[in-house]
Amino acid sequence: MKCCDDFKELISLYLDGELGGSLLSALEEHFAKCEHCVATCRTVKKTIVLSRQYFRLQYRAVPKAVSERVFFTLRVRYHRK
Amino acid sequence: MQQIPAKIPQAITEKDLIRRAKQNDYEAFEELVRRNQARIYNLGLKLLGNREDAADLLQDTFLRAYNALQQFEEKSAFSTWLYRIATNLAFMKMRKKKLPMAHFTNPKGDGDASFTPEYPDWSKNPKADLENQELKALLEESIAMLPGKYRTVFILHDIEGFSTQEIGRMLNLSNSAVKSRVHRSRLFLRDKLSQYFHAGAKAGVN
Repeated sequence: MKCCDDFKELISLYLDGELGGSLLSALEEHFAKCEHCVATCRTVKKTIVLSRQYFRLQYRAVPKAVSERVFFTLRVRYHRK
Repeated sequence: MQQIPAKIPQAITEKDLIRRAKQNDYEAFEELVRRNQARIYNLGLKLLGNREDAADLLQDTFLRAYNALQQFEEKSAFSTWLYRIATNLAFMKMRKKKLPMAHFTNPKGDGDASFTPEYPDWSKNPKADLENQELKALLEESIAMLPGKYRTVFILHDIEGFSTQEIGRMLNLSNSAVKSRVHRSRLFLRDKLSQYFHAGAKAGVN
């Protein structure tokens, strides 16, 4: 549906709170009658939430050896005494 | 190699450290490294996807930052300036390594090309949770499939929380280019997850 594709283009702006005026009203009116676009909006939002959780789980401290190498290299290059 | 102990108290502000580092106080620069290394290392992990490249990126970022410190005008936070250096270095690395550019079917944002079939609303499905290892693996794989220039903007915007304008300045992109890349990335990832739930629903497992 071309019409839904046009509204789909607004979904990120809507989720980021960057949509205002007539475009916002048009999208909200469309949501009231289009279950498909509501599902798209909710699943995009859920995708962002899951991605944030995913990266939070991936957080790692800098390994000691990596950190030491950085400080060592910087000292060798820039702080010769 | 010896771990270099912190000699500067935490109470010293970043602004003071920058001022001192610009006057060739090497210990102040080391303290800036110490305070910012975790976020740059983790940015590297997110953008490049492996520890070796993240470690190289960490080192290259601070080597470059040291050389360029006099040019840092303090109009943005120091960490934002570091992110700018790191993301640009990460881009170079992605290009050199030819990290995946394929599999992304609708990067231009053409309305018809981006049309996707109707998927049901799976946002409240109990399986839409990272405890679900299948979903977690799929998300990881899908993020890795995003072309570098999309993945970078998506991570900076949706994960790191930078504004469109900040990312535009970091990467020399227009605001509309940033917004479009964020949107395309979200739709791409959402479609991958939707296909999973759609297939599951058809098989009667979700």
